[in-house]
Amino acid sequence: MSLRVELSLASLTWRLLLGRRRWIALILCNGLPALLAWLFVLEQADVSAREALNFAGGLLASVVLTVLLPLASLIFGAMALGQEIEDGTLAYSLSKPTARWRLVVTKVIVALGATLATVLPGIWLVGWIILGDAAHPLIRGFSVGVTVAALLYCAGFLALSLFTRRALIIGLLYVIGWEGSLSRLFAGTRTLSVREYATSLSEAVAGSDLAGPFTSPLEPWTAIWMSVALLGVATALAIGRLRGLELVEEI
Amino acid sequence: MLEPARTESGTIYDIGYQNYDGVRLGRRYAIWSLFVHGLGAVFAKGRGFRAGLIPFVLAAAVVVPAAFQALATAYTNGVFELLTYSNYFLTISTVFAFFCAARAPELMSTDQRTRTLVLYLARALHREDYVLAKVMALVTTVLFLTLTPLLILFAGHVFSSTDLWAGFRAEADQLLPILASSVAMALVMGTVSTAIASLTPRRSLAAAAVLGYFMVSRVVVEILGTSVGATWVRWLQLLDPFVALGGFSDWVFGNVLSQFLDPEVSGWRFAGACVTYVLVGGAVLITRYRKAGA
Amino acid sequence: MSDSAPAEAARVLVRNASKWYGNVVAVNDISFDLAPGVTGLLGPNGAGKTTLLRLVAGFLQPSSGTVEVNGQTSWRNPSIYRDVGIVPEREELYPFLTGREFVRLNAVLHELPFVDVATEQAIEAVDLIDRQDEKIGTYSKGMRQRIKVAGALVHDPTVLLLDEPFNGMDPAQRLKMIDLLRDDASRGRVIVFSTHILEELHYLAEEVLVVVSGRLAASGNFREIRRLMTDRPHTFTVTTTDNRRLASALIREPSVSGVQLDDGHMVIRAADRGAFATALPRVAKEHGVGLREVIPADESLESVFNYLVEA
Repeated sequence: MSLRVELSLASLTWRLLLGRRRWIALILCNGLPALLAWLFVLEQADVSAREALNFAGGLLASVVLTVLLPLASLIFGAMALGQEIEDGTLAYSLSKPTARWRLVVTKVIVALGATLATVLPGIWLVGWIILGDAAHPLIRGFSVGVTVAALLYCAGFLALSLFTRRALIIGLLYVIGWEGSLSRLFAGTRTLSVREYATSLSEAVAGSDLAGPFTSPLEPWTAIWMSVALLGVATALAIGRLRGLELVEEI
Repeated sequence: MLEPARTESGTIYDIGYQNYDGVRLGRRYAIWSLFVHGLGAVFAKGRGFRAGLIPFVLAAAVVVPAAFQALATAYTNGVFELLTYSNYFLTISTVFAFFCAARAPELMSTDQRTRTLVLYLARALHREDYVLAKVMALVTTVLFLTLTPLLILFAGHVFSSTDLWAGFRAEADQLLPILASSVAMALVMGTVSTAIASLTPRRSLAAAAVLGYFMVSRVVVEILGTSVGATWVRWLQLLDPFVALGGFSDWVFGNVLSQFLDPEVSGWRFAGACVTYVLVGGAVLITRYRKAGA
Repeated sequence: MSDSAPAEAARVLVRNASKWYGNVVAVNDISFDLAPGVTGLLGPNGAGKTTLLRLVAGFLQPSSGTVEVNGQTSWRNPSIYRDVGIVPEREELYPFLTGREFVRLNAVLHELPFVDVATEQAIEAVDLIDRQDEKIGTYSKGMRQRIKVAGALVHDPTVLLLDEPFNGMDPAQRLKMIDLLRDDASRGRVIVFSTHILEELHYLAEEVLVVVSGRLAASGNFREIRRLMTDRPHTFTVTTTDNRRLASALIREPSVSGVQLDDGHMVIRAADRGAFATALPRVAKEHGVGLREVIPADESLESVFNYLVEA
């Protein structure tokens, strides 16, 4: 089956998301963790491997996982379809016989790609600068965790954008309110936090002897099952909603 | 109707169009009108209940904790004091950031999106006037939100003593710092938020950008503070507006500077940082609107 | 685009369709049946034309009634788009795409076997070949309309829905577009276009659907519609050799309800058009008045429209 439809849609969406000088944001977002890592190396000339590891882990957990990643995936995820709905150009994609699931999946993948382009190079740079090795287990662990989180966030926010025009604000509330504070208050709610899944999986891939700023009491397998479930629910919701989406004329 | 002018091929009708020769209220009034309109826009005036929900709820969230603290202060005679004049905004900084992120785009982005910006600039208003009116609208709103809780706290302290007048006199010297701190807060938050929001005509993106800036600067400052020990890093920490404002607040209230371990740091540094924020924000705005208007 | 007529006749069938949003009824119990040819959707702004088109296009769900295109329901049925082309009213396109890229995108999404050929044919049909490699962001409004039409025609649909397609076109472009649409209709396509400008219908549409406040006020050939409204007087502008004399004679005729003398001609209001048509020459002959000019004054769509709207 030719993927021409998907490729054309993907190319269109990529240009929509990253056009108009938005790609500058990509460079800045990757540059920030790298810059901080470089400052650390500059200032703490002789530092133990343990300390370096802790700093790298802390940097990645607090700057990338907690802030940059959710922000990027929120923006790209909510705008992948949301922008077209707002502009009214979605009519062109919807007035085609293309199956709705193909539209949704393509958009999610593009949003994911844009998000990963925003954070992964930064992670690798941090690994290279501080740990001297971009393929260090810590970095590998983080890359996996971040990718999973990005996928879940993008799918979730994309689905959200089909239900409300305020998806970005609600998404921000989720990220700051729920994942930032509330979900950590009660042990049970950890199973509903994307950040927890990411942390747990990172830890699992990196090896638990690298404990530090990112440990999670959540079992990796729980994280995996919950991630799959969440992804399935988000995608199903998005597809279902897109099928029944009314294109109301906006003035 | 007057006799129309006639030629062989066409007729011009005098339908009573008249030139206006009367008093024109001029540029100043235009700026004031835009400013007042901006105040309404921040609170979604005339846009129905649902639109006004977010600003009012956030505004309440900013003010209500002060009420609770004031009651606690009054009843326990100043013993139970979680929220003080100087730490109030740091504690609720997230809500504050949310408020600015939610409302600044209303002021700046919608005009660009709906292309009404051209209409504004085609009047007596100059570009700088437009910017000034908009910024001052948000600044004034934020000022209201910063002043009110602090005044409520003030009232709490006054009422904690049985003799109201004595209580007032005892607290009166806090009034000037309250004012300074509130004004600084309003100016910095207002200018920075509008500057960021003006960069894009998409409201939701602008909101995410404003909030994103606060989030990123907060976390960067944390990282720098805990891990990188050098003193020059202290300067970088001023990239978080709440650090600058917190330090300024501490200085103005005469507290030990809680922001940095080094008490030698002059309070003027924070004042300077606040001023810089306003200037940079203003520069961004002016540059942005020099080109915008299409 | 192929030259052969479609295998099955194209058809749009709407039965008792209504669409409401809360208390606001945008489309109120409208029914019609469209065969190949051009149908104009006429009505003032806010009458519900766009909502109706969107119902047919499957962009909105009818609150009640049925909307069918080529025998299938249009709502929640992406497969109808193989045979349906839509030109939305909204101006927004993808400004960073060139005209060719945009039409090509449509072709690819339709999974056409010969994407580039179809693209080129569609762009040629709207006469934008010389500008196809420029970004849509640089196009004028009329050009944007045309590239939208190209995008909607690229898959050779049997049903074409256009929402205010002539918006922003200059007269030359309009004429070309009219020719294009007329040509298409003669090949068996159902073409529906909406407008609130009467002149456009005059040149293009044989059939008219008049929508006012969400209701179908009239449908069919517009001249016939006019004829059906016998309770409204028909007006004729008549020039003769002796206007005053004929006027006084005509007043006695039962089919005449009023005569007005303007400089050089008479304006006659006739209650019964058919009877008047026979009465006029008879009376003129009886009184020896020569008829120079007899012009039915309000055959045009304009008066139909105005009467209907003001009714």
